[in-house]
Amino acid sequence: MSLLNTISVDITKDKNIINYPILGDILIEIQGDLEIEKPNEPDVTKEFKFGELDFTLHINEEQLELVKKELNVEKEDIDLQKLGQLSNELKEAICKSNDKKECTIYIGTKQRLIGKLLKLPEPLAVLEMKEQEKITINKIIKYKFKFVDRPLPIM
Amino acid sequence: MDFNIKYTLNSVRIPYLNGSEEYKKNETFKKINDDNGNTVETINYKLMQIPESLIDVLQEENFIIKGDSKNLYLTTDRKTFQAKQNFHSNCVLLLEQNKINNYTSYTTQQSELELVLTKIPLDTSTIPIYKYESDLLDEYDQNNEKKTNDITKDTLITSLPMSLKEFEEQWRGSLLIQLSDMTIKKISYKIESDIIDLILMSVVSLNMKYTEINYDAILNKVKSFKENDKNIDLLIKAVLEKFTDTNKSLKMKTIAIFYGLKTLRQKCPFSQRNFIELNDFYMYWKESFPSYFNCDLDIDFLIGYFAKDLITNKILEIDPTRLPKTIQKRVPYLMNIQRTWEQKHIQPFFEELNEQGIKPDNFIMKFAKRKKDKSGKYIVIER
Repeated sequence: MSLLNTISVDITKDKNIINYPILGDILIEIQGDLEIEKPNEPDVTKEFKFGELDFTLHINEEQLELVKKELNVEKEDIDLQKLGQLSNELKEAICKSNDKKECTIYIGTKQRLIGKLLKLPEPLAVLEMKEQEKITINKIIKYKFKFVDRPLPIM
Repeated sequence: MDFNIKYTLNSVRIPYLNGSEEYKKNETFKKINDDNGNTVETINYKLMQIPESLIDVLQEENFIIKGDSKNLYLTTDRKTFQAKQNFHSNCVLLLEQNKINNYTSYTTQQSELELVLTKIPLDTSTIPIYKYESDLLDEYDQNNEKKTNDITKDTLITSLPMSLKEFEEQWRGSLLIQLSDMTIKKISYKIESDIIDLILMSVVSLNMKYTEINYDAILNKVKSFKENDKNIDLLIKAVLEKFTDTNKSLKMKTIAIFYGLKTLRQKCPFSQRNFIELNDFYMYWKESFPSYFNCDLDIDFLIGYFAKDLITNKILEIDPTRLPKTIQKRVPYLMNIQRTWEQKHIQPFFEELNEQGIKPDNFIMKFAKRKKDKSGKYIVIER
């Protein structure tokens, strides 16, 4: 048995380590390669827009009551930003009831893809390797937007 | 209530958006220069599947990634996982929210690490052997001793693909001892043999029940025979841990096997091709124990370490560590020792090389013939 090299994994103590599509990092999976036009910009760090994701999140009556209670607000004052402050249990329940729900992604001005929000079979930890001998986990992703169909034209 | 969400998707000009992930061996961190000459630090990301059971202990246990050029493992305090990299051809984008409804892609991934729960036995073959200076190494130890460097227990724990809990469990009974200079050694076969003799003699002379062993009484008794050894306490404890269970009962089968293998090596060694009668072997086996120590003996305990002639009922020692390491060479070698084997006697020599987990009968039939004899036993012969 040969001796192995070891690296400790730092794991954030943040209770919001689990990221849900309500607020937090998202994961998008598209079958095949994504062809987008990159701007002719010399600064590699400069952001550019390449698309838009359209999704309708449904919250049922029972969950709505819990949301109102947890956020201590009226129904009219609930907005998406506030949903990010919910407990992990409620975020999980809301996402679970939206599992397999349809979503659309628009790439550039010409292409449209229809896909689904799906619960990952196993959560994915995002390992960050910033420097040699250091690995950190700050985020765990539980849901992804998956697109398996062929692109459709934008009419 | 429905929320219509429109996320704007952005990206920095990551070069891998239109192609495969840039993956360079031994490079986890790199600096690139942008067109203005400024250094931009890039972070490498990997996605790793985390079993639900680990999510609960994520922030409580220590996670360690261990690996060499061939394998990668993740250990927690209690479990060990082997990480396998699964590649796919889909485009996976990870996006981070930076403004309301505004996401920026920070990496694309072409693979995921899959964690497979695994249990790896503690291999002590690289640990230096503890022996008395005056002792020449027993032939058995010589075969097993490899060129090794001193190693401490802490270094061993951190560099083995196993969790702390699994290591502690396997340490018991491994015959490893930690000396005062913190290095660890494995007790030589000769010392183990001497000490188990003394332990069993003590058990008999102190009239102890085999199911209620008193460690301290044995320790004092054995120490009276071995006064000169400063590490005697460690040696007795390590040997006792191998031959007793946590309920302080003697492991009778383990003891019987130890003395059985010792007798096989002495009375019918493979090197001399010296087959002996099974009844004679039983007699020698019985005699090898300290006087008045009673133990049930069954030749089936030693399956995997001997060959038995079906007609003459004579047996011969087989050292599995010296057999050829490939199945193609091993089968003719075994058939050269004797042409007909009872299946249960030859099966362990096949099983060791059945890496793909094929059904034992089918694996044997791939390399030899298997048939039923008149008495209903399955026998294995050459093809």
